[in-house]
Amino acid sequence: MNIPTKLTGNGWALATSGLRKSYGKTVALRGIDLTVPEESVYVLVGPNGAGKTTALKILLDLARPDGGSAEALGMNPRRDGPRLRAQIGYIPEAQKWEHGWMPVSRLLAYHASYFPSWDGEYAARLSKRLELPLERPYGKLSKGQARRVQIVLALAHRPPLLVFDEPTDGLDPLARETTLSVLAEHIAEYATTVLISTHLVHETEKLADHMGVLRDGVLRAQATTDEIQRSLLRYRAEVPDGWDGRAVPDSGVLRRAARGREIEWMVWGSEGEVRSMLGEAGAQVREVTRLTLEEAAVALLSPEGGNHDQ
Amino acid sequence: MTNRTLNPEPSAGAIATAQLRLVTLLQKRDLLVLAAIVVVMIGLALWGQVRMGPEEGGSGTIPIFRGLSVPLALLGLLWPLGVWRADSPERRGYFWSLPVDRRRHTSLRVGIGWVVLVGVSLLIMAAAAASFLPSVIRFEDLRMDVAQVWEPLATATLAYVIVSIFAVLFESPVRWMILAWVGVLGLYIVGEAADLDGLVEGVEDTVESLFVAIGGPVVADESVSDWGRQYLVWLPIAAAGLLSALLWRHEER
Repeated sequence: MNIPTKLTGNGWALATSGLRKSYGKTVALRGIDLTVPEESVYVLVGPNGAGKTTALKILLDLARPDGGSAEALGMNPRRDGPRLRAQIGYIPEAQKWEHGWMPVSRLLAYHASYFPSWDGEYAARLSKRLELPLERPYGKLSKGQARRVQIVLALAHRPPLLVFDEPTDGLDPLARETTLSVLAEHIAEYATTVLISTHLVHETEKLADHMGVLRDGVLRAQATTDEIQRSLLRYRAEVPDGWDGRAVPDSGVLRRAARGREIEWMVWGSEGEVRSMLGEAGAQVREVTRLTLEEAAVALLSPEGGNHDQ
Repeated sequence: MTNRTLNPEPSAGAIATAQLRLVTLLQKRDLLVLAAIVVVMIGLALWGQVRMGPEEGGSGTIPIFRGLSVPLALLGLLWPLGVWRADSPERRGYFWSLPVDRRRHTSLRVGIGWVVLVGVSLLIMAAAAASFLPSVIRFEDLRMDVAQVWEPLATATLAYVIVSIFAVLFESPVRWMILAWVGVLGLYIVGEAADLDGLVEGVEDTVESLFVAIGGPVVADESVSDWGRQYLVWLPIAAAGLLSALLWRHEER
């Protein structure tokens, strides 16, 4: 009942192989094989410091790997840097980039001059929808407003690949809802592959069709969201007095919590196999429930979660 | 990957226009102040010319260009701060995320910054000259000495190039300034201590023969100071330093 860390198939919009990166003595990535299928929405989940931002930066050649390789849209970020960056809409982790002195309208025009495919009409529509204060200097905007500006900058040239680093960070609930619906409409309208790095999975739950779980520079899980929600289930079972929990094998068990005589497990595996495994150990399964993507991510990020043999 | 039409990269012209607009916008306030000063000085000069006429026995040469070398050197030292004002340290942010070869992009920014600096320096020189003209010369007698223009422009350029080397290499403007001052001091010490005459003369001869070949003006030796002549050596060295810094630090692949 191994948790998958590799996707099968072909037609990757983005793929890394054994990607490694250290900053001095701090290891950010320990050889990850990230694969994002074409036109999918892939959510890369992990706590702060997991290595998510580093992985994203390598794709734009904003950071250089120590080992391994990366490829996006069939291009090497180092060899084909400018050509590849023309295909990417990028939202960085920082809410405010440079050019804080520019009014938002001027910043949009400046950015547009670098992207011949920029659609001014679409940019205007997005700006209106996201209520951008076009005449205010970019540097004087609130975090949320600045983030919305970055979203227009990333979408208006209709890139085939969107790379978003914590895109909803700093947004209030209403702005978050609007932003996510703008993104959902964009994805529906244009053939786009999206890689979103976040530690707030629930926000992107409706969009995501693939998820990768990164912790301490190791990719602990990588699968479709369907597979994750089908294979990682919560089992509530009643156990007899004096029951020896050690009878349940560790394989696939991510979390365990006791409530009186009831014990709850989160286990990766086929439901039938897990039920029989628990039954053989003397536990009577009362309920099996699906996890939300957020709960699944938390379970996979737990110290017991994921494979450690990468 | 399925076949799909890829988004095009920006043209060189579009990038150059965007960068020129950016650099001038960044310096807009400074340029407006400078333009106002230039207008006032030229206005005063014209007014003086009309009202008072030229001073008797005026020399016919513009006397103050060389005196502008020091202020223009300071301008050149500070200029990169304005050129890079809007970008994050080391350009590892927005600037680097744009779809342009980074060496080309950075060179273009440095080059456009220099062009604007030269334009501004010429304006300052023109304004300063204009404000002194009525007392020394009739407009129709004006003679332009290339050497006089060369020295302040070369000083400003050298200062700009030295700071730009560090701006391209390091993230902190404080560091750029400190290293640039150390660099200038180093050049001064080397220039004073070393016997560069042979080298300078060699470069000078080459430049002069190039001037002759293209039909340009020949600069009389005596009209150029020692420092002015040494710039012929320092400028290519500094430019080579800048080029190396660009090639190394902003390597795309």
